[in-house]
Amino acid sequence: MRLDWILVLLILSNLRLMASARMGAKIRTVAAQGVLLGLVPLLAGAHTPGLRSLVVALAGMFVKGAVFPWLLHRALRESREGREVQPYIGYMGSLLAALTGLVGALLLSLRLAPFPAGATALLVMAAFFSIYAGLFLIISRKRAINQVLGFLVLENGVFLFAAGVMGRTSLLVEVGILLDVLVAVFVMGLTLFHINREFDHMETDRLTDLRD
Amino acid sequence: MLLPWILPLIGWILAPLLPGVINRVKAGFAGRQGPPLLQIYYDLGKLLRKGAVYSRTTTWIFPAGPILTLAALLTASLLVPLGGQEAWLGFPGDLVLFCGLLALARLATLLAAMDTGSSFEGMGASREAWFGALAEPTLYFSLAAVGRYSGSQSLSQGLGLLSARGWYDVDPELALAFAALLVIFLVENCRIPVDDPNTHLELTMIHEVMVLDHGGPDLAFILYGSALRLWILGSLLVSLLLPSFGSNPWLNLGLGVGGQFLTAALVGVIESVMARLRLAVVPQLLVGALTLAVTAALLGMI
Amino acid sequence: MNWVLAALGIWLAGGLAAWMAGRRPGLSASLCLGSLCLGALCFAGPVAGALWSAPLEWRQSWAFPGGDLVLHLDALAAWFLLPALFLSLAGAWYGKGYWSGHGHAYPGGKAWFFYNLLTGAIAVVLLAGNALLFLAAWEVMAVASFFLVLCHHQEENVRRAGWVYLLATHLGAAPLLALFLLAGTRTGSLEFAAWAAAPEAWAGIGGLALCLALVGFGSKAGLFPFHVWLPEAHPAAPSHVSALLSGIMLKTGLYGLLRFTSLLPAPPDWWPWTLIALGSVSGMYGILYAMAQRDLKRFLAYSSMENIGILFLGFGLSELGRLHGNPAWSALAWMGCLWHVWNHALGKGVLFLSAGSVLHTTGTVDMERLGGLSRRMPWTSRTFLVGAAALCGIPPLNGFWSELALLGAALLAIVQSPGSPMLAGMLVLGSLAWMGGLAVAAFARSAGVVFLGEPRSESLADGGSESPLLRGPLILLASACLLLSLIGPAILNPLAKVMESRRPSFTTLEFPFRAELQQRLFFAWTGLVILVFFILALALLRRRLLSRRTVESSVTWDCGYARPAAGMQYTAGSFSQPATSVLVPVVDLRREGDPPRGIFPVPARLQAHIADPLLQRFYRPVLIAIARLPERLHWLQHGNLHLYVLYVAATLIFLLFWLMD
Repeated sequence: MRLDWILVLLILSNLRLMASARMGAKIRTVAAQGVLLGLVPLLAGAHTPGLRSLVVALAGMFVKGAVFPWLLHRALRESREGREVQPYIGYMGSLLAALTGLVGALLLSLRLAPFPAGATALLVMAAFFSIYAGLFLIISRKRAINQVLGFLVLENGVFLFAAGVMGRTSLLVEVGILLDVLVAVFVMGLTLFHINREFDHMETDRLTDLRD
Repeated sequence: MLLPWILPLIGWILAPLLPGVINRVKAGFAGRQGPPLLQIYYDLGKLLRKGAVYSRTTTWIFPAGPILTLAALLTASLLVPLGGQEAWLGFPGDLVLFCGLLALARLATLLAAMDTGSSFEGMGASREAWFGALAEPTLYFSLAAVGRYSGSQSLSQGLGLLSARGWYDVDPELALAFAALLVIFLVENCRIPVDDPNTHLELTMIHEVMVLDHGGPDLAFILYGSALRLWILGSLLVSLLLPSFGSNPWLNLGLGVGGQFLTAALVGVIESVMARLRLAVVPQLLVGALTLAVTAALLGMI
Repeated sequence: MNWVLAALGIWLAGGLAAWMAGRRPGLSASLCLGSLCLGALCFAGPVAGALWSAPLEWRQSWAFPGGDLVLHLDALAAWFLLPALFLSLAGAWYGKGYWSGHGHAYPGGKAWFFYNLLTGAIAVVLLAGNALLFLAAWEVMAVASFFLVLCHHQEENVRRAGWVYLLATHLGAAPLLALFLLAGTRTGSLEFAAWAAAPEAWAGIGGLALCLALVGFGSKAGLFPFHVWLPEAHPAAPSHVSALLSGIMLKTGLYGLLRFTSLLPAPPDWWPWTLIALGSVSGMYGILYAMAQRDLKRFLAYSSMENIGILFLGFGLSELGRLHGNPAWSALAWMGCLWHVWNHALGKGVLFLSAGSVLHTTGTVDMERLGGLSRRMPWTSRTFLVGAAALCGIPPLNGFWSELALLGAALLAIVQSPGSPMLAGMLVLGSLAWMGGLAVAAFARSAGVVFLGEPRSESLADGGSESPLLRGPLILLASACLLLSLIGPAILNPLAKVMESRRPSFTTLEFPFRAELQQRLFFAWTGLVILVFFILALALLRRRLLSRRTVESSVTWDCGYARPAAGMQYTAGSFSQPATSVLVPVVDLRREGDPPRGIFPVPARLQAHIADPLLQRFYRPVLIAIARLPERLHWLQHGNLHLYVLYVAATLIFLLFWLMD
């Protein structure tokens, strides 16, 4: 029951990410998503969580809910532009795409049933929808921060899928994923910073000017 | 035996109190004393005793507008449950009739507004028509989500079952449907953040500008109709949210009526703490609410 | 059945006589109207028999291969035939007045001949039990309506519309020919009854046959994406012809599809989904474009497209229910679809005839120039409002009944069924709700701009009132709408007959559900009665309250501006601007003009034009490319008779040798 609420909140946060044009709000939404996601392994599965999973979850929540947002907010301040100006797909189109994705995720998850113990159709649906939302952000938005956010959301979807479907993953894998993402975000943050310093803007569609 | 008849009667009698409550709450936030709670009753009494002035441009459609609107709303008030009490007229698929009656009220108001030939009223009609068109699918989807949840096709059965289940065992789709319905409640009643009933500039009005030319009994019908609309749509919200305690129907009915006034107070709070949205942003709010309602219905599939 | 033959004969004879008497418009029209009346009377007995007791059949051997000449009048055909007869009669009555006035080019007696021919062809299409007869009647219907569209052929755009229509209707007939040939070769017969009796013959080609039927019948119905001819042809025709084309002829496409699918064994899985998807797109596209039109008749044509979408949504949902073996919502959707055939026929008939009266009185249907007509044309404005309310599907008008059934079916699918039917129900519910909301906006716009307010152009401010000759048929159709809304639940019995006639294995109205349905309709009817009671009571109350008070007249609130003018009213274009501007990515909207500049603005100008993107971006380039192809073969064409004979001879000799092998 509590898990259902968290999953629905995850779905809603994805909807907000796809619809919103304000970068600050988007970063906060991704942070909230990270915190919510950290709760999932604690609630999913038949077993009561042990100390180990508690520590991993707290670490994940800290990194995704505090470290990443801090980095991204810094990058945003550097770019001095708070809004997505002209996305490839507008507000209405994005919400329409979101609903389509939601229906698709639902059909996909219903087709995958039955699930192992602990996973529900809702969880699988939320996972697929997160992956979809991440891809959508990467594809349809111009500003580079969106690509980072999209990548994070996509990774959240993968994590959710793993947490729900595979049950208890080994510590090594979880920490590995977390480190992977951490490095990726650092690299992206550096890249953003440099793009910004060189070109005075952060719109990825204009990076095509760089091709030889 | 008596209860089904009492339910609409209570609504008809108490509905004008709701705008009074809203105004008092707003006045409280602004540090004023505000008009008396019964102000709408006084207004209605005064207007019903007045004559009327009609524009030379208007035809029979102009006075017919308020009559049709109020008649549609009076009929709609027979269709909604409150406080676990079934509606006077409830049948499978009654929400189609309910939405149809709201559409009739809208069409009548639009035509009466366009009958004056005023550019302001045409502008208000255009906005109302577009926002109403965007709101209609949301209303259907949120009620369908509730129907799916409770396995019932009628408003009374669906909403009544829900409040009987209590608060703790509620699934998230109901919360989504409630949020969508709350937006519809604000839109249909022309409340902030969509429309400001207290604005004094014709260019920014939606509903108020459409009824600028009405006076006398016609305006009384309109005033009473908008109070009744608050009551009707509020009944949906309250039925969705408020649990019923025990088996005493009178107690539950009392709770439902109390819930109505709480809803009115909530509207007063919203109006006091929120700014009105730009007109161009209102469709975004409506489409957002539609997304919530569709998500709620989709979650019902799992 | 002899009565039916007699009716067809009377129509043909009446039409020919009307043509002969073409020099005298009054006599010609009376001949046509009289023959239509007589024919309709002859039809009354058989149609009532088919609806309340058993189907009728008439069989005669003829010279063509593949079966007898069969006319088959069952409940389904009767259901479509009834509004066809009624609307053609009302249209002829209207045409009598429409073409008698001065100034309105009377196209001659041949128009009446084609009118009768069209009515007869529609009847034969509905009755045909043999594919060959069906196709022949189908072609006669197309040709007769083509000539009727070309009534005012002096105008350039009418000629253009006529050609688009002819092209579309022939392209649409080609798949039907292929379909009937395919079925004929597989089953060895061209009789529909023989096709139904041989389900094994369809093995392997069922999907192909359905595709051909969908393209062929869908293009006649004006279904997306085959709709582009519809908004061209319907406004170009005289209004009573438009009423018949929009109200009835579009439905023959749906009828063909219903008839044909009832011959096939169970359809494949994708079939209902295709119907629902196409219906949904047609409906939403139609109402959106209707919202953006400034020509009143074009607006009505797009609204017809929307209603065809509604019909296909109902049909698709019922087919889905049939596949899933759920009788309840399938039956409800099927009922809504059938019911809407009548409601749309009557409502659209009233609206087109009212639009014709506007054209007749003012000489224009351009909404931006009209306004304030309700004082000059009180009856037309009332009938238009009745039709508009009926097509919005709001209580207490008849359109509400079909809306109640269709939305009820979608709700039932959502509430009761697991998995994919629920998604279908949501799609249908969302589309219908969207269409309903926009229909209210679109009809408020057209009725408000044309009939309410002040006249928008000087020339309209004074002029005659509506012609009393046109009043009768308008009132007749509007009262039919009102009557249908009043007796809603009573229609269930004949409707059940129609629903059961479609397919023997599809008897959907079994006992418990039928009782529940009756109860549902009765409760809804109670609601409508209460609504009417409240309306009357409030009207009386208002009258009593005002009887003792002073009632004055003044100007409309002008915000203190000293010189309000009619030109300051909200226009049709500005009314729909919020909708069209948000949907610019979907809608092909072109704006041009000079906005006002400076402190003392000089005259400014704004022109908005909306075009059907499917026509502009798809059909036109494709058709132009196809037209270029034959140009490559132009060298064969040189006007030399000897060489043409050579071609013919060479072809004959080639065929001779080829067949000898």
